[in-house]
Amino acid sequence: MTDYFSEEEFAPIAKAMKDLPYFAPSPQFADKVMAHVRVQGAVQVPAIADRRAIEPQWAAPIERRAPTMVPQTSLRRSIPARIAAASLVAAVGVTMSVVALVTFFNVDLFVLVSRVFGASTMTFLSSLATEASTTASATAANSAAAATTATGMAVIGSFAAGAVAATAALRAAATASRRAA
Amino acid sequence: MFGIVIGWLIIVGLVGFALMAFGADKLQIVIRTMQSGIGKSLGSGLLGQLAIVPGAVAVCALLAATLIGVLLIPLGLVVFMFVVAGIAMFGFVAVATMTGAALSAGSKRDDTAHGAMLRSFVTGTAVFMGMWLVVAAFYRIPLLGPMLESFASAVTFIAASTGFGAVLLSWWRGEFKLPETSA
Repeated sequence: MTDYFSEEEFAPIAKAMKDLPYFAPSPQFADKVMAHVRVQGAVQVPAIADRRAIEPQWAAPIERRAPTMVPQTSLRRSIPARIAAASLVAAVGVTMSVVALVTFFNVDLFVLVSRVFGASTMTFLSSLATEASTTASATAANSAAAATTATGMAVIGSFAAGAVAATAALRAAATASRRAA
Repeated sequence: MFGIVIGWLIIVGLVGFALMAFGADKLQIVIRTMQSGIGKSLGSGLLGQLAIVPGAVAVCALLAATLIGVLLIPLGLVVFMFVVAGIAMFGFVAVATMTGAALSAGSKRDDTAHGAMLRSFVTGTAVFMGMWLVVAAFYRIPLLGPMLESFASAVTFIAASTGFGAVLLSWWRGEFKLPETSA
């Protein structure tokens, strides 16, 4: 409307429109109208209360079927299998890394292994064996020297007594715990 | 000396609790093996200890058969030693539990089997560690100290060897793989 009137001309018209009374049908208007409508040949629908009185009490039970037993495959892997898989992956990874390094640097693989790891491994093993034999021989020498003294004899005797007593005590404990179980 | 004993007490306690939490059935199997014959378990343990060094050599030989295995020989030896130490600790926990079960046989204060096992383990560990605490207390006395230490060493050696052998024997018989039939 503002296309046809200026702002000053439209202001009193808008004020007059706002003062007009508001007309709208009530919410029950449509039901009241339809209550007077009669259709020829239509069947009367029973009310809900009447329908409950005439409908049968029994109803077919809902069929609940048990789920079909499908054989399940156990996908849980054992710990040794996981360890083996991890070892395999680690071995493949190390192998691929070594091959890549050898290819990149153009080095003979056997020379690389023997030079880098072979010497250190043999040194480690030899030192381990030397240390073990030294410890064993020193222990044997100390025991032999101690056996000649009274204190040494007492210590060795205590060890033997402890071993015998522990064996007897464990045997008694096994019997007692078996009976208690 | 006291610090070493307390340290070992903590280690044995932690390993024992872990075993009871995650492998109580395995622990029961080892205890049953010992109950069926201490002599067999002790003999197996002594034989197993004699086989430790050849086993380490065998690990080295098997690893040296492959190119990648050569690189893994130090690691393989460390793993082998850890396995041996773990078996020995497992066996010692089993011996301590069996000893505690024998000492607390008259006690019926536990409602569950796990509770009874925990009581037995604590009792047995207290006995063995208490013995070493006595050794630590008399450690500086000239003759008595070494004698007590030697006695406790022998008892611990026999206990650890018996447990070590019981674990090996149970594993050799395949009892760890069998399903548990009794509750």
